[in-house]
Order: sequence, then C-alpha cells, then structure tokens
Amino acid sequence: MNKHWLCSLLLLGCGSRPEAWDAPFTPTAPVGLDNAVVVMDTTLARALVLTSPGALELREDVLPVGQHVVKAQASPDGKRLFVLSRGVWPRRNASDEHPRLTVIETDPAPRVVKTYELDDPLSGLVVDSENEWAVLYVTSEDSRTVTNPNEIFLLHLSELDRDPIPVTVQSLAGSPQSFSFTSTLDMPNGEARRLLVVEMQSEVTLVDLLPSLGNVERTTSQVTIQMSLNQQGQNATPAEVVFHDADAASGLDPQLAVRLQGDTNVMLLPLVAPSSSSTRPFSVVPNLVDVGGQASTIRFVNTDDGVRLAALVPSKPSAGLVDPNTGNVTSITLAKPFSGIALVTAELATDASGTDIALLWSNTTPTIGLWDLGKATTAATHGIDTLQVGASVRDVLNVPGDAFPTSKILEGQSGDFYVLDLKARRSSPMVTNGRTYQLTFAPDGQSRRLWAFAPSEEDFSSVELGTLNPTELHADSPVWNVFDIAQSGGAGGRTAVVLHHSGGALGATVLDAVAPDSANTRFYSGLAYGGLSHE
Amino acid sequence: MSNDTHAVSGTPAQPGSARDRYAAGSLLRALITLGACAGLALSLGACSGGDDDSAAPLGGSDFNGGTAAGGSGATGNGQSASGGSFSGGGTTSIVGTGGTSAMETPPPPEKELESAFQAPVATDRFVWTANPSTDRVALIAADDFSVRLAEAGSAPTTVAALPSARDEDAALVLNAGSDDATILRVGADGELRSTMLKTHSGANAVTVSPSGAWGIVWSNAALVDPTLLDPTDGLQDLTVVQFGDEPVTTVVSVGYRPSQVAFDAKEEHAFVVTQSGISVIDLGDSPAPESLLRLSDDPADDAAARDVNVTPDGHYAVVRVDGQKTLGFVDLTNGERQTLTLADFVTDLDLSVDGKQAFAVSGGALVVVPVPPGSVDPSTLARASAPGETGRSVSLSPDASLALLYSNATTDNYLGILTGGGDWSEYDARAVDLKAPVLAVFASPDAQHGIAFQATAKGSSKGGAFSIVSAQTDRAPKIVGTDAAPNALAFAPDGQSAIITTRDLTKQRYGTYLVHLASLEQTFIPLSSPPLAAGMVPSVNRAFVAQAHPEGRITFVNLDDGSQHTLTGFELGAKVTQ
Repeated sequence: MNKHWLCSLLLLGCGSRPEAWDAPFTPTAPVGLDNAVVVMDTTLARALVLTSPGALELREDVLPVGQHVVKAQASPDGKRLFVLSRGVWPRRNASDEHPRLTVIETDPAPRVVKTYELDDPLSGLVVDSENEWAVLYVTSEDSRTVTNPNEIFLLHLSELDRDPIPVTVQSLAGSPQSFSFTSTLDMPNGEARRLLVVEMQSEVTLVDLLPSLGNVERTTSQVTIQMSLNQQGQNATPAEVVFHDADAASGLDPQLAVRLQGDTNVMLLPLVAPSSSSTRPFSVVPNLVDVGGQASTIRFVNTDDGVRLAALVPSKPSAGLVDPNTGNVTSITLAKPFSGIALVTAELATDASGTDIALLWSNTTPTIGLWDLGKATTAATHGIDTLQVGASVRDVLNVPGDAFPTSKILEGQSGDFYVLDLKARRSSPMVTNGRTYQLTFAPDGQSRRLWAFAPSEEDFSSVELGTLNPTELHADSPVWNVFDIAQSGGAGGRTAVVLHHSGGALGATVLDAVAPDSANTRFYSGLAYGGLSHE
Repeated sequence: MSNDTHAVSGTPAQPGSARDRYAAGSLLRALITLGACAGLALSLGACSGGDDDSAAPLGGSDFNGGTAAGGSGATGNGQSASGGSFSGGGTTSIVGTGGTSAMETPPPPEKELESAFQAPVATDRFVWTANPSTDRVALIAADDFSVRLAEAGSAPTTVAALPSARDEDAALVLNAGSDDATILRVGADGELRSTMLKTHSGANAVTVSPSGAWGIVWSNAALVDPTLLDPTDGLQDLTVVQFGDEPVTTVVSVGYRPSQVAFDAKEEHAFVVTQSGISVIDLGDSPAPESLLRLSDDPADDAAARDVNVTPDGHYAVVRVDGQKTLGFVDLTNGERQTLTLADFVTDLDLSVDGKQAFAVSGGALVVVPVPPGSVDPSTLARASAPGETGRSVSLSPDASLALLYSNATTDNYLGILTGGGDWSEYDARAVDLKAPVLAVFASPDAQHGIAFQATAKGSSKGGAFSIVSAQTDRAPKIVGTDAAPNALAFAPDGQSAIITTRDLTKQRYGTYLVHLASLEQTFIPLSSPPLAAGMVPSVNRAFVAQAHPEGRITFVNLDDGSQHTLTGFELGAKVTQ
C-alpha cells in the first residue's frame, strides 16, 4: 500500500485533507540518537521517531516539527535532536508558520522539549562537542533580499528556556565559513572562558562565550584576527584552527593556532594578558611561523621539550614542532609522508610524564606511525614507530565507548578498512568487496560492534570488535542506513535498525545488535504513514 | 678598506656616550654587512671605482702641489693644479723613493664588499624596521619580543638610530612617499612620541652626529638604481636637522652626488664628500654651506675612483685613488692639500679610530702613515707585511692593533694576519691558507679574531665558506664550509661572539651561524626565509637576523646559549580588531 493510496482513503472518510498529503514522502537523511532513529518527513512536517522497546521490537512516534525542514542534527552526546525548519516563507498571513528550531529528546520517551520561533530562516547549525552551546547561522540556502551573513544565534543548551542570543560576528570583509568551540581555557587574568572560533574567508573571530553573554556583552566580546599575507600578497584563508590551554609549568599562555590554505605558514595566536584598561580577559598577539612546507594538519602536542604545535608537512616529508613561546621550529624528518594525526595519549600512556602519544597516518602510503612525543627531540628516531597497513588511510575513526580503548578503525582509500590495536601494534584488515562502505558504531559504544554497509545494497556486515569476527547479514530490501541503538525498555538490550527507503516507502529491518543474525530479524513497513506493521 | 667612515643610510656616524657607542656599534655592524649576489653587483659598481682604464695612473711624478695659499680652503682650489689627480690648493707634496714608472700597470681594483648592505637599526631596547607599504614602523623589543607599531609618513624606508643623552630610544625615519621624516622617541615610561619634519625630495640616507644633536638627511646615489639617475640628477640637496625638543630643519645645497657625510669633533661643521669635492656646512644657528674643498685640480678626474676617509675628529680627509700611488690629505679646516707618494700603488686605505694614523695597503704591504704626514719621508714609514700573502685590502680592528691583509681582486686563499700597535715599528705577521678564495675579511672589535667570507673552493661541493682566525695566538684557522654563501656578519661589541648569515636563493638554503670566537666554535641555526641583514642588541646579549618575508621576519639569537626566538608578521597585531 502506498502512501498516496492511503491518503485517498482517509480523504474519502474525512471529507477533506491537507494538501501535503498528496505530496510524496520525502525524508531527510536519518539521524541516530542513543536510543532512537529519527527520520524527518519534510512533506508533513513530522519527525518519525523510531525506538526499540525490546528485542526485535520497533516503536514509532510522530512528533511535529516545523514546515520545510532544512537541517536535523543530533547533539554529540546523542541525547537531543535539533531540527531547523524554514516555515512558510515568505510569510503572507499572520498565521503562516515562522522559521523554527525544534529540540527533541527521546529519553525516557520521544517528545518535543522546546520550540523556538525565528524571525528569518536559518539553515546552519553547529552543536558544541561539550553539549553546552549551539550556533544557528545563515547559509547560502537562506536566500533573502538583504542578508547579514554574520548574524548568528547562540543557544545555551543548559538553559533551553532562554531565547537564542543574537550576535553579529565581527568581521572586516568576510562571513562565517565554519564554527568550532574551544574547551575551557584559563585566561591570563585568571578567568576561565570558552571561545567560539569563527573561521571566515581571511579572518578568524573569537567570540568570548561569557556565561552571561547577552545583548550587553555581545559587541565587546569579540576579537577578529586578519590572516597574514600569502605569497600572492592576499590575506590567506584559514584552513584549520586548533587550541591549547595555558600551561602553568612552562608559563605558556592559552594558545590558538591557524593552519593557512596553500601556505607554508601557520599563525600562532597566544592569548596574552590584556592591557590594564581592557575589559577583556585576554589580548591576542599573533605570530607567524613557517613550517617548511604546506601543512596537512596541525595539532598541539606535549613533547619532551614542552608544548609544541605539530605541523605535518607530507611534501617533505617532515613534521615541524613549533615552540609557541619562541616561534622556533624543529623540523623532524619523517620516513613517510604522514598527513593525519590524532592524539592517543589517553589510550596508551603508561606513565605520568605528561607527554603525548600520537597516531600518524598517510593518505598516500600504506604506513601508519605511533609517535611517542616524549622522545621527539631526544631520541634518534624521534620516538616514531611505523607499521605497515594494507592501504593508505582516508580517515581514522574512534571506537565509541570504553570497551575497546586502544582500537581505532582505519578507513582505507580502497574501501577496505582496518581494525588497529594500538597497544598490540597490530592492524587487522577487513577486506570488503571493493565498494565504498560506510561504517557506523553505536554512539554509546555499548554493542562492541561496528556496522559496515553500502547504500543500495542488500548485504551488509557487522564486526565484533573483540574477536574481529565479521558477520555477514542480509536484508530483503536495499539498505539505506544502519543504526545501533539502545533498547528503551530498560533491559539493556540493543537493537540494530536497518532502514530501507524506496520511492515513497520507509521500512526497517530490526536485528539483535549484540548477536545479529539474518535469520532472526523482523521487518517493519509503513513507517512513512506514522503506523507500523511488521512481517 | 674603511669600516668607519662610509656613509650608510640610517646609521649614526661616530661613537660618543655609552648609548652612543652602542649606536655607533650599529654603524660598525651595519658597515660590515655583506650582501649576496645582487648586492654584490651593486657593491662592485658602487665602490670599486670603475674599470682599470679609468683608474690608470696619471703619473707619479705629477703629484706636485701648486702654490696657492691655503686660506680657509673655500677658494683657490683647482687654480694651481699641475696635472695630478690629487694636488694643488696650497699643498706640499712628498714623493717617496723607489717609485715605479708611470707605465707600470696597477693591480686590479679590490672589491669593497663590506658596505654593500645596511642592517636593520637597533637601539638599546628596540630593533626598528619600516614598512613602506603600510606607512608604519615596527619597534621590536629585544627583551620580551613584544612589537609596537608607530605611524610614520608615506612610504617610510630608511631608519636611523638617534643617540640620546636621555633615557630613551629614538630613531629618525625617512618617508620616501611624502618627502618628510618622522622622529620617533620611546621614553623610559614607554610612551611613544613622534615628530614630523619636512625634508628635501628624494632623501634616502641619514648621518647623525655623535652627540645626536645634528642629523644630515641626504641623497646617496649609491642607493639609487643607476638606470634611474639622469646625469643632471646631482642629488645636491640635503637637509640639516637640528634635533631638540622642537627640531629645526634647513635645506642646503652641496656638491654633485654626495657619497659620505661626517662631522667635526665639536659638531660645528659637517663635511659632505661629493664628486665635486668636500662640501663644508657650517652648523651654526642657521646652517649653511660654507665652502667646497676640492680634492683634485683636474676636472677630468674620476671621482668614483676616489676612496675618501674623513678622520673622526673631522680635521682631515685622506684620499686614495684607484690606480695611483699617492695619498692625498686635505685639512678640512683650511682646505690645504698635501700628497704623499708611496713606492707602490695604494690599493686600500683605512684610518685608526683616533684618526692619527692612516693605514695604506701598498705593494702588498701595510704602510702606516701619520695624519697629517707632515714632512715625513715615505721611505721611512713603517711597513708591515705577511710573507706569503700579497695583500691588496686591509681590515683593521678599531684600535688598529690587528690588520688583516687579503685580496679579492684575484683568487687568493691566503690571509695575512698582522698584529702590532703604536707606530707599528714592531709587529708579528703570518699568512694562513684558508683553502677557499677570500672575498671579505672582518676584524673583531677586540682585535683578537677575524672572520673571512669566502667563495666556493675549487672542487668543493659547498655553496661558500667562512673562516675564523685567531690573531693573537698561532692557532690554526677554523675553516667552515657552508651550504650557502655567507652574506652578513655582526660582531658582539665585546668581540666574543659573532653572527654570520648564509643564503642561497636558488636552492632555498638559509641559515645563520652563531660563532664563539674564543673557542672558534660555530653553531648552525637553519632559517626558513632568506636572511637580509644581521645586527646586535647588546643590552640583552642577543643578535638578530632580519629576513625577507612579506609580513616581516626577524630571529633573535641568544649569544650565550644559542636559543632563538623568531617573530614573523610585525604588523599582524595591527590586524587584530579587539
């Protein structure tokens, strides 16, 4: 039974029907939460919330959201869903719906916990990884007659009753291109602050996220740093911003650093003590450091010589260790052109030296490296051990949860992926059939599994991370996405929800996520109608 | 080769107070910076005095004075010339014995490499650098590396440190785009004050009197692209600045194309060496040109071949001409000229700091000449030489107790090390083989060591070399091959350490060496951009290396431990809106 037909029956019974019921079901990309999967039905302005009360069970709740959903995003902790909708635009009648932000939570039961009406449509949304702040902003999709591209709205997530705080980001000539948040930094004046980092075309603006940030402070809480001139005599474009908190032992002020596109320089932005007349907790004194080539990524690290900004330069190949206090660069020749770096100190550190351990990978050679930065400047090898893997690495994924702290997933350029055990220095290949697979985990890491699927294929796989045993699985319909969620019944079980979307239909195959078996599944259809049936 | 009288824009002329001595040290260091290829070419064109033909001797026996009375020196010059390129004007002439015939071929001219580049300006606390594109001057504190920006006029280019009796750092900035200058002063309280001055058009050089009371803003043809200079561009205007709480400027006119400015000891007169002669400026209440002292009676003389050295007290000018055997002495108080003909061609000339002695290199030996020479018989002058080295150039320590003889006109790997003192009637000498052709040599301020810059040795894979030689003990020279050619040098005032920069623009190899002279030890520090110049900030015991970078880059090096601090983007702070 298709949706159109069902609607026709309803129309006959009720005498009239909303126009939208004649439109096809057009969902947005599904979003996974800890214990739910949410699909937006943009046509009917609904959120279809799928939860699993028990083994092989699926429940669907339908929640209202604004019309014309443009963005749905989960909070990093998997507890909330933020939905931006455009409403009726342009508004012609007083009853026409405003643009809206809807906040949904699913624990203990799906519900809308807050709705904010917005004056104008916004389709940009970034949620702080510490779940403290969210930023709403204008994108190019929000076409208006007159747009202030620098207008953003800050939402304090611990105070949902508070209205979003409008802020115009200070800029000389640019508009926001990306947003990120620092952790809490110990400012030179003793205050602890978090900063919103706004990267623009040729500037970076730091917005001081005062707890009391509001209308009074919003114009005085920003610092804008214009990027340095590149070889073409133009202001460079920021490509990456990283930060490090103050280090009392070395007298280091809190620092930010900016990698510049197409430039061999990185900008150091120490947050130093402000002048006595300043009302800000810090002042920025930029310095520019040439790291010897175009860096692919930068990261603050703790070495045996103190805090350094590590800049990987694959073209050399080398790593520049920049002393933020002096601007001096120690260039370390690398055996391979490593292009990516992730700190794995918490996973591997065995002493209290405070120095970091980093995982290095390359997108051009099948080698990874483990960099003991406690030996970076003293050892002949600079503390780098290399390990061959089967392919160059596209990305490195963390395994959520605590069960496998030393495991990383290396996504290969070829479509294969590798389970890396950092402690054992062992990489286990997971050979795929050549298609580009998507890998997902349970957000809370409780299922001890990863799921690999290729959209539009009916076969998918699950790998038990303890044994590295892959389980081949099959669904009767092409897979749209796979989610590993906690069951909401309180029994602690887990359910894998395999979504199928074809034409105007939405269905789901449900499995036991802990012990998946194609022979033990249940298929649910009719999800697009807001009702469930299973086979 | 003189290292204390060449006019270099942006540097004071002579030492005075302790603060002044440091500023003068900057001058010394500025003068011993050495450029790379492009600058080398400029140096050769500007300083070597043309080709061999133009430097041909005009006849040793012709250096006979005329009969005119000396008078004030303002008049009478050129009226009684008897044909020599340096004669006349009521002078006496002394001809040495053993002179060679007029047909003798002089040696090829030496290359004056040491003064090709100017260093950034440093005062007690700050390194000053101008940015013509932003109309700002950056003041970099050498102690905490903080950067302050000062607004200047349009297109500031030249910066000169100003000696001051007050507890302040000060500099004069020439603004090429607005034909004015800015005096910047930072007091002990840290307050930055600026004063604007009007100057003549086209100023590109500054010479400041030792006390800091006077400054001469002038136009140095050597700093101008020769293709942009019309023969009628005499660059004859200069601006006299009387510093004070309310600085006063006066524009005066001097001879054709000035090349050097000096002051007398009382700072009552300024002397401007020009192609026309030495213009004397009365620095009274109303500064004005007083006279033109001619250096030659022959208007056809090649003024570019002259090497004019003014004694620090401003009493005498000592003149050498490429391809001639004579030394000329001009009494700047009255214009009297005297010539002294040596036995051989004079290939280089330097003066002692007190101006009492001239050190001429003649016939491969150092000849010590009293200033003025009086009636001295040239054959009785003290001569010093190092067997094994036929020196054509000399680098003299400030106290004139160390003379380093070398030649760069031909491929010569040897360096003559001469130590003496007083009248140099007694001295020690030795020649050392440095294994690679010597390009330039610098004596340390304490006269204990020397550093030679060298070209790539035959068969060497290196980009260049330098050598550290010990003067007072018979130690083997330390020869250091470098990946790139050395291009700048700065000594610490105590002579214990030095900084040498190297660069190869093609291979993009840049670096600096910290040299501890007593141990002949050197430490290489790689740089990420081409070094332009080096200098010292003695108050914090640091050297600095200015580098080419669109945003400005400078690396400070601690002279004790070699630790470094690099600042890039002096004006990035101005691009922070906070």
